[in-house]
Amino acid sequence: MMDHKTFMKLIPDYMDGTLSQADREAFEAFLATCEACQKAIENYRTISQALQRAAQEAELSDEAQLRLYERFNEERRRRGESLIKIPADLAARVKAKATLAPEAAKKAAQGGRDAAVLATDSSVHLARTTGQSGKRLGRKVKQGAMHAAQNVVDVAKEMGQTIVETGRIVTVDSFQVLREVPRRKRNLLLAPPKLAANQVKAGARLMTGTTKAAAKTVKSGAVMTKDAVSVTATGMVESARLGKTVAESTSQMAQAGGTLLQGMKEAAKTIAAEPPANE
Amino acid sequence: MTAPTMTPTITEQELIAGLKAHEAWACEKLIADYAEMVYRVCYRILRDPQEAEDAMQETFITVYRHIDTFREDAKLSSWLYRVATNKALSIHRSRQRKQGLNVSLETEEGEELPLIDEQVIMPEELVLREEDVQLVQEGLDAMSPKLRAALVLYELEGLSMKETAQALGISESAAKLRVHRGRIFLQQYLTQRLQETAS
Repeated sequence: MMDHKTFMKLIPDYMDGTLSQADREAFEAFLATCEACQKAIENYRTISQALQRAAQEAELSDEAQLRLYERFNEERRRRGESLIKIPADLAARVKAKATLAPEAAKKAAQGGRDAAVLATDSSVHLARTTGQSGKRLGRKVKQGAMHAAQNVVDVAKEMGQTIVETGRIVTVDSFQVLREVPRRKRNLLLAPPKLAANQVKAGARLMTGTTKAAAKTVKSGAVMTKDAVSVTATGMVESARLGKTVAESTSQMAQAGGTLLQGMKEAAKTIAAEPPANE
Repeated sequence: MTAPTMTPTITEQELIAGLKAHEAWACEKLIADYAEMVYRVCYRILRDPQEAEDAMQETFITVYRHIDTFREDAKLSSWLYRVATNKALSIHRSRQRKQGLNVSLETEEGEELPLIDEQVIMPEELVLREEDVQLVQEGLDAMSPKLRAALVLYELEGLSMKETAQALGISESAAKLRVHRGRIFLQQYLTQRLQETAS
């Protein structure tokens, strides 16, 4: 009586076609009624096909074959027997490979060396190009920064000149008026202009200091440009910030100058409106 | 004795006679005719080219040294299969010893212990794709070399079960069991790996 276990044992014989007719008939009759056994037969075929596909090519190399001949001759030499002949074509193939191998290695080495030289040349060229670009950029940045600093100095000088000139005119006008003003009132009148003058002085000092700082920063920025563009960019930002401070200080000083002028004009009007006092 | 050049081909009996006489031409022919086959079997069992070459050399030297004991009514190829399989398995055992692995999974009779429950032979349908070839090779790697040798001889070399048994030096029923267990092992391995891949 056929059962699963017997069926499984008979599968190889069935697949090889070596079962007796009676056994094959019993096998096939059971197979027709059993789904699991049908799967088992399918899996048997699947495994056989998979093994055939997975069978790795195991090609005997010429070198391994030559070593086999040499090993055989070693044995025969030990026995005092004549040596066997190594096939000429096999020896020639191995020799050709042995000759080609160093040549190929040499070519590979040469190729590697050429590639290394080319890579080095490219790197040097790139470094030079980058360096030159950096220098050009640095010079432009330095020129721009110096130009900006010169502009700041020129504006400051012009501003100072205007203030000095205005102060001189106001002072002359005021002096004419003050000559007619009693001493008591004169001190009273001169208090606001003195305060304004102090403010002008302070503004001028601030401007001088800021300008010096800006000049230093520009110098520092120029030095940094030589090292790296990014660092220079930071210096430029700093220079711009300080330049802004200079402009703001100059603006404050101009306002102070305006206040001074206004104060002096009002003082002059007041003095002119009053009749000369008798001392 | 000189090579029988008058005949268009040298018969196996003439070759064996030439080998027993230690004739150089017979040795040359033995290598020319069987080196590829012996190397292929050794490689498929060992799955390492250097070890396969060592096993091949040992096979030919052993055959040459013991050619006098060879019965002329037997097939030379069967003997070569047997020696090559033994050398390959011996090299594998030697490798395991060097690696400090346990080699006692085999009984004195040379049969593997029942690693696989016979009940698992009712499998789910196994569907393999072309790209699963790599998995099959991994399954062969994971398999015991004795089971692998049985599968190599029977499935890949196309030997009959009787020839497989002779090459393995075991009874035909034992050879059948090894082939069967090799298949079950591979089937289980592939089913598990395919499930892992799918999840």
